[in-house]
Amino acid sequence: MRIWAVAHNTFREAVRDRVLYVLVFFAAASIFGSKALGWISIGQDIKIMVDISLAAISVFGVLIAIFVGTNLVHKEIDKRTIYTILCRPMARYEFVLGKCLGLAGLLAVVVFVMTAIAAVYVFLLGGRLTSSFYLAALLIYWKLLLITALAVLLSALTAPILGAIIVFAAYVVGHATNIFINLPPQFDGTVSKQVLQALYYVLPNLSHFDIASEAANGVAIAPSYVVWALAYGTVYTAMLLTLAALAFEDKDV
Amino acid sequence: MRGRKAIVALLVVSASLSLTALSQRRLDAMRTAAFDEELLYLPNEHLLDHFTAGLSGVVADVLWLKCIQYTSTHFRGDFKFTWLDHMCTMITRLDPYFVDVYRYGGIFLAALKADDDASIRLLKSGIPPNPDRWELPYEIAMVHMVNRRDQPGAAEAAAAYLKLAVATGTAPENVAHVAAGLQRKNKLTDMERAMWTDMAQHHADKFMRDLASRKLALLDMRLACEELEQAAEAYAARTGSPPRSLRDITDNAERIDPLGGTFFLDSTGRVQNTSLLNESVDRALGQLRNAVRLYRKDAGSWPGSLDDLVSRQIMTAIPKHPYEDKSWRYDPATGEIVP
Repeated sequence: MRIWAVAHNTFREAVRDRVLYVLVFFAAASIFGSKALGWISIGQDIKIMVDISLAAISVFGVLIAIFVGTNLVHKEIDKRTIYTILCRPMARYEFVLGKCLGLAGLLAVVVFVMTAIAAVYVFLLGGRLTSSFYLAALLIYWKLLLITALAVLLSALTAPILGAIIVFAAYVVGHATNIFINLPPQFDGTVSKQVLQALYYVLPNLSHFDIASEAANGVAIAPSYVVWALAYGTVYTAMLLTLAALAFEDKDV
Repeated sequence: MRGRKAIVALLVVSASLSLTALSQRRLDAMRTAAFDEELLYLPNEHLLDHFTAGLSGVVADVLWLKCIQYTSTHFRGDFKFTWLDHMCTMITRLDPYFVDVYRYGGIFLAALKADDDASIRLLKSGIPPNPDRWELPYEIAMVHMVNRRDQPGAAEAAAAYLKLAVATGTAPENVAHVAAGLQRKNKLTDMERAMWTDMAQHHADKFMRDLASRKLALLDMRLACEELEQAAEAYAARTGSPPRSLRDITDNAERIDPLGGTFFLDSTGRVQNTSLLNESVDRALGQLRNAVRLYRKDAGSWPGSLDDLVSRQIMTAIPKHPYEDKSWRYDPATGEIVP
């Protein structure tokens, strides 16, 4: 119940943030503007619109998660409002989980609205979307949850700017971890190879949530793939939130 | 005083815009000239795939638009397409399901750059991720027929790829006709027989062995029909009228079809075999069902009639029922087609 109260408050606070509306505006503008690129693509306008729509949902969703997420705990400390919360009979982990849930709710609304805008726009322009498009949007949301959990963890550990830089770097590297297991033959038998392969399993592999190509080309997605990707994201997010709760327990506020 | 300020502002704005327009034109010219060099700085496609931060589809789209721009610029200019195959390979690496890039890239490479090796390499690379797309083997066949027509074995290769296109079950009817015609013209039945015999004897999978045995039986039926057809033509030339029954042209009218079919003469005097006709029914049915599914995906509802497939430009024509006395029965409520 206390977690829900914090989540509700976080959601209301984030909804009032002007940054949110600026980002949603740019995301919607990207979706509407995608038609212009389609005109010069030899009959691939719908494919390009779907690609850009999913990219806009992913990129602007991540920016929202980073800008809002890394500020979540720090803002409460900076404005000293955290003392009025922590002096109540509330465990610190409840505060962290509530904050994260509030942001997850906000992201759910943002992803839902942007997906609906993209779907209606594609429909109005004569395109038809397959279930892969909606599954791609679902996996993007799951990726955003993982990024949010990382942002909340860093919010409890570092300053917002440093946290934002680390989360953004993790976002880029998280899409490139496959390189660690596809090493050239020069790495065979070296310690570096073992270290990089270990890193592959430690770092979040965000490319598992990326099925935009399949969605844009109408390629069917195996339900078991989606289930495994959701399971992977859920476990990783839960681990990051546990670490965030532990980090906040030890924080001197 | 106010008027003077306005004039000064106008002069400043005019002079500045003239200068910026001049520099912009200069920059545009430099950028076009440097475009080929820009491509040199793009990382290897294997690396690029990893560093698109989940935006590989969008990067592929942007590169495809660049590729179209690059092709049209050089088409109107020096007709050199040095980087075309590199760009297409990079795009398809980023988005392996982007069939139009394989297809148009293959056409551009073969028709404009006259690099049939690169064209076939690109088209072949698209088949494993898109095994049900008939366009890719079809375009490879076209490269063999057009670019390599003077090379030995080109017709056989074209026939083999056309057969592969037909085997996807999604190819239009005319592709199946071209494939059959090419095979007849080049007398490729020996090659086909050798291929199916090898598969029937040595393939590890029982299903594939059974399929090859069936194909061998159908090949025999096709040859038998051709043989009887020639006999019917000779009969017509000799007597001045077409044969009324198979007994008029052969002593062995009760030929055994191992697939359980029978031979007969149709109303035009052509020799037909029910096993071969049933095979044609299955193929046409597959094309129609695929087209009906595409219609539903596109329009959101089943077509009202099969003619709607033509009016919506999903099919160029509705395939004729292989049996002359039958027609397709279609249920618009369920989208089901009954032969």
